[in-house]
Amino acid sequence: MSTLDWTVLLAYLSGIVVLGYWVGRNNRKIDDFFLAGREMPWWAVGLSVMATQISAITFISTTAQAYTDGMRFLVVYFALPFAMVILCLTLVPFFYRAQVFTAYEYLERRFDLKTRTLTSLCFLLQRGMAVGVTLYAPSIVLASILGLSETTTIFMMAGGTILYVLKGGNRSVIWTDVVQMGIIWFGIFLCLFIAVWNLPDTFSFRDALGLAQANGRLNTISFDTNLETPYTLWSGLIGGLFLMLSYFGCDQSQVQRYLSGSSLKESRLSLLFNAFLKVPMQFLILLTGALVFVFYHFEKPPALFNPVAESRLRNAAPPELAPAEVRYAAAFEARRTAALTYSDARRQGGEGDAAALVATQSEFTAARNGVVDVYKNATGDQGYGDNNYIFLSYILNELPKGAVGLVIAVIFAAAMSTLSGEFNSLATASMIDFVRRFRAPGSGSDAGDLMLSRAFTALWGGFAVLIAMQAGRLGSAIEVVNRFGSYFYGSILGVFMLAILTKRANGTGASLGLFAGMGVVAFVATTTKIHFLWWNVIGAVAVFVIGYLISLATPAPAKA
Amino acid sequence: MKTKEGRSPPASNIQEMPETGDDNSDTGRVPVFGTWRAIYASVIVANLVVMVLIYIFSRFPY
Repeated sequence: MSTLDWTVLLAYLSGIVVLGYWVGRNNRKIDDFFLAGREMPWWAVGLSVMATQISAITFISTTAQAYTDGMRFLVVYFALPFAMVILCLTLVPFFYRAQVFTAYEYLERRFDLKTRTLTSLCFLLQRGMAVGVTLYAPSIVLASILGLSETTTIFMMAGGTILYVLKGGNRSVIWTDVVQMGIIWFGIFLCLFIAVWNLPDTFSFRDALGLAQANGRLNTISFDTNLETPYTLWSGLIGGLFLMLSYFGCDQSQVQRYLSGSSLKESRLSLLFNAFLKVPMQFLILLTGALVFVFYHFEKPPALFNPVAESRLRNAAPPELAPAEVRYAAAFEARRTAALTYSDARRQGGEGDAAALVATQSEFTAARNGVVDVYKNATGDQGYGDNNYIFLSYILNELPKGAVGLVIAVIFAAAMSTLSGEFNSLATASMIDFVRRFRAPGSGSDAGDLMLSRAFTALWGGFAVLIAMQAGRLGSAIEVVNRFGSYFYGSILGVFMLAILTKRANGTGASLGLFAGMGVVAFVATTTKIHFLWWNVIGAVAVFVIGYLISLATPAPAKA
Repeated sequence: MKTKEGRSPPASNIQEMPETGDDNSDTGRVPVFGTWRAIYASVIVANLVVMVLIYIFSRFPY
């Protein structure tokens, strides 16, 4: 990166830490620290909800998904607006009027202490490990792209975030999220504009869309009813609905954002604000990925998008490399010619030879895979994959000076906005659901609680850094953590469904149902190929049915 | 609701489900849309329109 780019990036990092520190300087009580004094306006909370959800790796990997496979991932968000309406009508009034700090606090009032403790513990375990992955995943990509060590990028992201969350708690999280979301939106439009601007002069936006479409990169909605097919309209609408209900309704990292609203109205408006904007935003991010795919028809992309791998390959210089590169260059030229021929034909009112175009794309993919195979054989790195490097490689090589630093800042903003919300929510669950719940009545003071809350923030931040720094060595353990998260989402929604939709369900049913639900999802995940979006439905239904049956077989709650 | 000690009350009492719809609204008008019913309907209709537009976008003969 140029000096100007580094200046932009460092200006962002220092500016956001100073802002976060400054807005949170007046925290005196635990209400201030965890719920920003319950005085936040809806638009700030809405932007914070949005910023917490969009992580760096979402930004990096969804553009790559559009580049390699099309825009089908968009269907995951189709159910989000419906979920927001359902939550505004059900859980949000519950949480707000109960004046709870955590979503799990409500479960004690409805069921019992063990249900609250169990769900909160599940959240801490799952989110605590996941936050390490949230930090690790972009850090390796940024380290490779920026030529830094992983440790440096981990500390750049986590260090600054811990600093301002430690000082200002949720108030700092929300106001920095507002600025970060502004930067992210600006970055999205900038990337889209530059992706169009970088197209050849003779190539219009319409030509670009036609080319992307012919190669399947505009594919969005599939009506396939096979449960194993990824990202169909049905899995998006049904599985996505359960996922969004769980994420926005039962995950403390999101619940805590909208509990900071100054009234129920503000909390609801913050979610509905997201309902209007989330799908268009994700559409623009995916469209950028599709346009980068078109751009690389006219500018030869690197065969390996990871510059460190590229360098290792050059150093190894195996004899198979030269013929593989010759094939790759020839395939690129053939694809470029086919793209121009196709677009010329379409412009003149013809159909264009889409089959020939797709054939050149297939050959291009095969030729690139040939170079990747040479790399794998030469280095022994059989698990090599570089999809997450595509977008950043494009940014670094094709954007003008200054814009590069800004877009890298966008990636940092996306990472830090997610991390800040997660650190704060983990500290909240630790403090409220465990320390304050289990200590002797009458002990503790505002000042002591505030200090302890900050200690938990630092502890979880440190834990995330530790996990991120060890993630490369943890390997399959990370996969287990991610899977555990997938098992948990639908299941915890099932517990809340039992709480709200039935009066007969009791704590024993809810707690045992939660275990049974996670077991059912684990069984489905390991013995079938059903797409993960459906796991949320299966988990929620399993907990609801099994939990209800167990409740029927055990004593009814006091008022049932 | 908290006791003086900051602990949650005993868990035996079941919370009643709050009523839904406009009766459950907070005080004051909803910006732009007027009522909660109108804003919920707008969210749903807008989402359906966006989904249709995206489908058309993906299938339009460019």
